[in-house]
Amino acid sequence: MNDYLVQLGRIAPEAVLTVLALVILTWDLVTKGRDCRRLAYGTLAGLGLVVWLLCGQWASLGETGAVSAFGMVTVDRFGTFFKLFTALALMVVVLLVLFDRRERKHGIGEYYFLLIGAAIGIFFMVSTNNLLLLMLGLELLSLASYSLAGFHKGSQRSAEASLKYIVFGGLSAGIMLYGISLLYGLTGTIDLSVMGRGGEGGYPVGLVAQFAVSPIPVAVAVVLVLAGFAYKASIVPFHFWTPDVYEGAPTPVTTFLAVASKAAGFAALLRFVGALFLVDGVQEAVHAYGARIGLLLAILSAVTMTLGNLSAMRQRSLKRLLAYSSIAHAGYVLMGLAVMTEAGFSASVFYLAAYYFMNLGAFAFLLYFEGETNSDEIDSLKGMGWRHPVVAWAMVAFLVSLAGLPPTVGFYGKLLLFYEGVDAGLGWLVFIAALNSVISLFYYFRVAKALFLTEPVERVPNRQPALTGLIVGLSVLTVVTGIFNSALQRWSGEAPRALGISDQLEEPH
Amino acid sequence: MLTSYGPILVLIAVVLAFAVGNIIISELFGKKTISIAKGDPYECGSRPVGGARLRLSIHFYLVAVLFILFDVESLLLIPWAVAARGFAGAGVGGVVFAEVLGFVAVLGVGLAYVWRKGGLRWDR
Amino acid sequence: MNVPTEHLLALASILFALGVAGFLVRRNVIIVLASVELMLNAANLCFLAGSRAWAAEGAAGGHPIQGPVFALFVILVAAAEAAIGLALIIAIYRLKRTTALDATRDLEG
Repeated sequence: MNDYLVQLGRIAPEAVLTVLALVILTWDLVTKGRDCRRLAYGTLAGLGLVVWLLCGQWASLGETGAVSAFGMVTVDRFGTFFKLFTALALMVVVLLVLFDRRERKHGIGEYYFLLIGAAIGIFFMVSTNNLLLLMLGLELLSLASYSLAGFHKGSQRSAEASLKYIVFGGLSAGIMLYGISLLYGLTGTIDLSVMGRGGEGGYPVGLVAQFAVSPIPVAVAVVLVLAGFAYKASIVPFHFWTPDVYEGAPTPVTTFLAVASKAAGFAALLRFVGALFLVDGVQEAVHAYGARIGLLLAILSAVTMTLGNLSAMRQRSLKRLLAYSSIAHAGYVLMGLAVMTEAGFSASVFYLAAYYFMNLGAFAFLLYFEGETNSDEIDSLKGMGWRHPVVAWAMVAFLVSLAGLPPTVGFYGKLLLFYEGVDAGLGWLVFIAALNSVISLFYYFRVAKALFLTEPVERVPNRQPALTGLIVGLSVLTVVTGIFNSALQRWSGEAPRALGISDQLEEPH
Repeated sequence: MLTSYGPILVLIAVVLAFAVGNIIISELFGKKTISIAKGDPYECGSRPVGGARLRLSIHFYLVAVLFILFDVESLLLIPWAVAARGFAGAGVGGVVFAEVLGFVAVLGVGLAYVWRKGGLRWDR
Repeated sequence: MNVPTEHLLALASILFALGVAGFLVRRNVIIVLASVELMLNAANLCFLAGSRAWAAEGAAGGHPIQGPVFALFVILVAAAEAAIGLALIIAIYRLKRTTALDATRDLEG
């Protein structure tokens, strides 16, 4: 019984979120959807509690410490890192819903309920080695996201976005599950760490051993599973849904999908690749194999960032531009994975953290801009810099960070990725990435140009002070974490260490 | 290898022979009368009303979807029921029972939600 | 009668291929979602075949339970996905009076 409570304590953040979701839903029912602001405050309070619990968890876990809850959930710093960022990002998203001028204020209790549901999915997805729980977390996230994308079901664009999302989501889920079922058939286990190392006495069979016997089925299964993560992280060729869904979904939901959902996809991908291909002790046997997966990821990375950036150049809507830019950033993050070392992984984690700051900010600006002009065309941005200088300058900070220029956190993240890439002999990939950064300058500059390079006009009174405060806060974070990055770098370095992956893919001698 | 499918083949043959055989036998030996009532869709005498392709209320789909959801959720109780005996033997039966009560409570909140939102009302 | 594992896997891969083909070829959203269900069922069959094969090897001294349990959860997920999908199709139908995927052309580019 005591042991039971200890294990329950390890999943306290998840448990609190679940209770919070149920409370919000019943509260909404009891008050019959009147005054949903209170629900938002309740959600924020609950999320605050979760953040506090997660901070405690981070402190209590050692650098490489991992404890298990009920043999399903693996609580380690890697998962806690992403949970912490998810909870914080969700708080921002709830604030965005609250500040959304175009959103109704009554009868939207489900909005908060679904957001919390998606967060529960992410929480389980990033902190498990068990493929069943991983799949359930991913599906919970997906199902909540489908409903959120179609939240304005009376709006044609929103309903269509949701439909596109669910159709492609179903496809990738089917592909991924088929891959998992093949992996299970090949190894006899659904636990990633057992799959990586192999069990005692030859059962369950390690994936390495199975690869030696039947390489093609193993490769097929792994690639199929990658499809599921690629969809969540919008990596080519599973990116088709991204621009349409981002455009059609309500802007706070787009923010959630672009930031929290994408990072969760990457977190699960990092754990999957780390557990199967960077295992201590067996990396020599797995070398040729791991290098090939690395090459595959490198190629995907190059294609993803190039396609994202080239498509972003042609966009006239700021929302679609940010959608394609988020595809491009998925390509950059993938670079760190392609390196296939712990240092590369931590560079990816750092970049994801940077991505949280700058994209939350950019989408918050988009919401402000939509609230002012009721449009998301870049053309209607003209003169915003003179009419609303504070938010416009904050947006410039986000754009600089997204383009990867100093002194912002985006610059430092890219520097780390490039450094690790060169270090691992992926010079060609770094070259392509650098080229892409130059391309991206063009369209980020276009936005800045629209903001400022017009005839000066009268400054208008700020009608969204709370949202302005949030945007300014995020822009300050973007710049400050760029200049004083050592803490974030230390944390993002510690996160993948908890995965227990080997330091380097050794060349077999 | 394929011989292991022999029984299925035999079964298919038996089923086909039975169905086709019955039709042939009744065709050969049956007494044939032709009347107007024979041509009715329902030979028992009730007259069909309206067309066969009537439109169902969209509400029907909603109720059907809700049924499927709750039906499938209850599927999860089966593995629990199988495992519960073992847990009760190990002396943690109370905890395991509390867990499944939690699961049912979550479903209950879902049902309450559907109810309050009018998902179960047929006469709208 | 003993069906070899290879046959089950072959059937599963055929189901999966049919699902993918249906997804790519058909234009009606309901059929597309049905194709997805086909793919999920292929995965289910694979799970059960895998579990049976490992049991035949005498692994873990009994019947590996992970496969069947996984299949159960896949059924659950499939139902949930179908429920949301059908609800959405109803919403779209109310707006557009069609369930053809091509008709959703508002978002393009």
